[in-house]
Amino acid sequence: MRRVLAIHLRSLSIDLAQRRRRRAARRPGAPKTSCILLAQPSHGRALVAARCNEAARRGVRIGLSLAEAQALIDPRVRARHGDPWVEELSEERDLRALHALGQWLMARFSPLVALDPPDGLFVDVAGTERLFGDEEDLCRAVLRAMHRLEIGSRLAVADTVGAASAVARFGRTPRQIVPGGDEAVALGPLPVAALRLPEATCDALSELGVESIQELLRLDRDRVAARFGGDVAMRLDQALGRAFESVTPLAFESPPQAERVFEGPVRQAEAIAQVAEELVTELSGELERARQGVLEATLVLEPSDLPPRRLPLSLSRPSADPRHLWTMLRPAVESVHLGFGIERVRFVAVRTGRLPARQVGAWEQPEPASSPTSQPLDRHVGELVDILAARLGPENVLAARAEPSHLPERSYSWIRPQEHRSRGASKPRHMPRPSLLFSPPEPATLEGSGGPGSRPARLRWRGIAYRIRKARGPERLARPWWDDSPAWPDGSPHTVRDYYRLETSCGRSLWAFREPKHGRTFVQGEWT
Amino acid sequence: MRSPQGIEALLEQLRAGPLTGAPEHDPEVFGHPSRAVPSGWPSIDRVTGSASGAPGLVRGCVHEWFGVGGPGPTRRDRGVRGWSPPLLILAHLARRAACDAASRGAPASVIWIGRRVWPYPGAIARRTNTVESLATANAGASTGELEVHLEPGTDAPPEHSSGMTSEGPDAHDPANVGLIERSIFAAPRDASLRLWTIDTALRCPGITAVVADGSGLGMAATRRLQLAATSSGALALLARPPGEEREVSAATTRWRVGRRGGVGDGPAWSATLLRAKGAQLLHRSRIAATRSPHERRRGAG
Repeated sequence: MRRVLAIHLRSLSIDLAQRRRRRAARRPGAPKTSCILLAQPSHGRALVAARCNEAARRGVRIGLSLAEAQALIDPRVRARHGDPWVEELSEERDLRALHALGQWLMARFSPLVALDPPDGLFVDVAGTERLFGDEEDLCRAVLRAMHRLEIGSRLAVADTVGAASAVARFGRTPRQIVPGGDEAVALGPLPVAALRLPEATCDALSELGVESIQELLRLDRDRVAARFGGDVAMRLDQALGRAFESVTPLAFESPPQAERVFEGPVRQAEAIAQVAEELVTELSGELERARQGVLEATLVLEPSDLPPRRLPLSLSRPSADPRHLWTMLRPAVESVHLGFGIERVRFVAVRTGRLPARQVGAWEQPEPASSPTSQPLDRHVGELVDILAARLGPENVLAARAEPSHLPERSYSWIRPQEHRSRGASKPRHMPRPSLLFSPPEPATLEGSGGPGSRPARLRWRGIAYRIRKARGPERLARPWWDDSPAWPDGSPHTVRDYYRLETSCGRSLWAFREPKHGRTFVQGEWT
Repeated sequence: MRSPQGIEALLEQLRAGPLTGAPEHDPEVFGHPSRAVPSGWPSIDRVTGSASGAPGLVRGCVHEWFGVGGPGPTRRDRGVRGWSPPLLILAHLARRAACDAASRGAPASVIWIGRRVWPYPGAIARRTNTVESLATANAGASTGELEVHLEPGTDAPPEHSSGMTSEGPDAHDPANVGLIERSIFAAPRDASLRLWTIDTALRCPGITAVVADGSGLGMAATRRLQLAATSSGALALLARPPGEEREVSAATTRWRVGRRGGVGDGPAWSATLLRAKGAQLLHRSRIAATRSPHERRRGAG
């Protein structure tokens, strides 16, 4: 039994160009660009081979000459948003990207991935959907991942390659699951072109008035074969599961690694450490020659009598510096239990990244941070983060990221420093926030407030009574109604909180709130 | 064992250069041509300027800030357990340091070590300064007491809004990045790991300011941190509990922070300069004005 997930990348070339454009725009001083045009040379002139939606809205059609397309962009638009971003369409580059995408899908979703150039992928997901929940969840995960990569895609899951591909390309929704045996129902309303037939055959069929697969199925099979060749019948059989269609799966590219096998079990810790250091040096030299750096690596020590010991290593930015890698690995290697002796040592670069092009040298003048929106980790700071994370644990070395939420506990989240810092960078609100936030809020009693509108006079908190000299507020915060979560982060079910800035007679400044529903008071922060 | 040639070479080096405790930095390499970070508070800049020659807190030195004790029945409660570090003052200084470094194109990351000194990100995200509104520098009195009035949440007045503090139109200015984007937060498990973390962070050339929980550090530890800070030129800010004011330390300046309620429209603090080490050499006469009677009695270390 086979379940095929077909991924149709609707606008792969444009999406890839868009990514390149974004990357270029991050450089300081880069000119602004308004839209994307991909050109292809044809008989001595350049024709538009693909264009983005923005250009399509301005009337740029495929097949137009580049000069005409450029002229269609309004000079006022150019003045405001810049000239169009023009590139030559390179099928080879797109194919390379498709290949990389296939490798990445293989590592994440299913071991069987096949390419369907120029703009499709097949993934055999029989059995792997259970890792994600069901097929619906798997599709959602794939779509989410593709969305993060900024590549537009449509998916379909079916029993056969033909049906999945047809539904992915021509189905009504971007995500559709065809239950086993329902291929004919799902394919019926789709146009004949969905069967991957040559264009001439499609045209001939449409001249006969056969537009949809439903109509094709009603025709006599032998006559269709006699008139249009066996191709039509074969594609139909493949799509409906009556004939098997084989695809060539992509071969998995194993990560770069270096390995040493001992003659017998070795128990000397120094020898193991020396060999491990040699492996690290060897592999990082190899990677550096390919301008690659380690992002995640594992040192595998295989004892003779125990399961292999894996010592993971993860970095905040690609590095091929053996000294830096070894600094982080050494404490782990020196404290590993050797058992009856190690027989084999492997160092595997699980994830690699491209090394930034720069001159290699120790402590050279660091470049100024290029752009404020995507703050790249400075090289030295990246190394510091790695060293601290290796010793303190990665969960103890963090950075903060602003989140689009107005709840004080949720407006910031703790992330690993190497992750992207700014996500849509919500503008900081101009209401004062304390420097310490107590989570969960601490219960307190507010006394001396006569009516609901009067100012608080006395506060009892942590067993001590404070006289309140000044109270500013209230600032009313409400739990968002569009949020599914039932309560505040601390579990309170009430919707509204009135926050006050209180100043006690001894000079403390506290941030307290009252829940108007029942009048209870909590202290949530302090300015220190 | 060092070879005789090696020893000869070492001796040559020693003869050639003066024996300084720490190597002087090449500003070309490290990008710290001005060695002090102006605090932005005129009276503090005035006092430190008269002490060390450069207004503000000197880079490559350890500065200790004694926090405010908590309320409690016992002295221990007040001094060591329930204390709170002066986070807004430290955040202000770290912001000034990052701003100062970024305006010169130097790396400008700030690291906060110890969960106690992790501020709520919302408080340091807004591009505001703490403003000195009321300053009384009693130069004639025995203590040089400065009152710094803080107004959290309001935007900085234009004269303070240089680089990072202004939301100017030039988004590509490297100095115009909030402190929160440049901050890393580390939480060591125990005191010895904390010392190691501060030391490692201080030696990293990409770090411009280290804000750390400095409770329980002795003379040897602060000396080690002082040496680490000198090696990279980072600004080291230690928050210490008020009960440790009597501990000896190698810090260059020590400040006591107290609450001052009811001064203006927000929380307010006073900062008292307890010790300024460099002042001894440059302005011996001023030292009396910048030291508390308690420190004078002990003789400065």
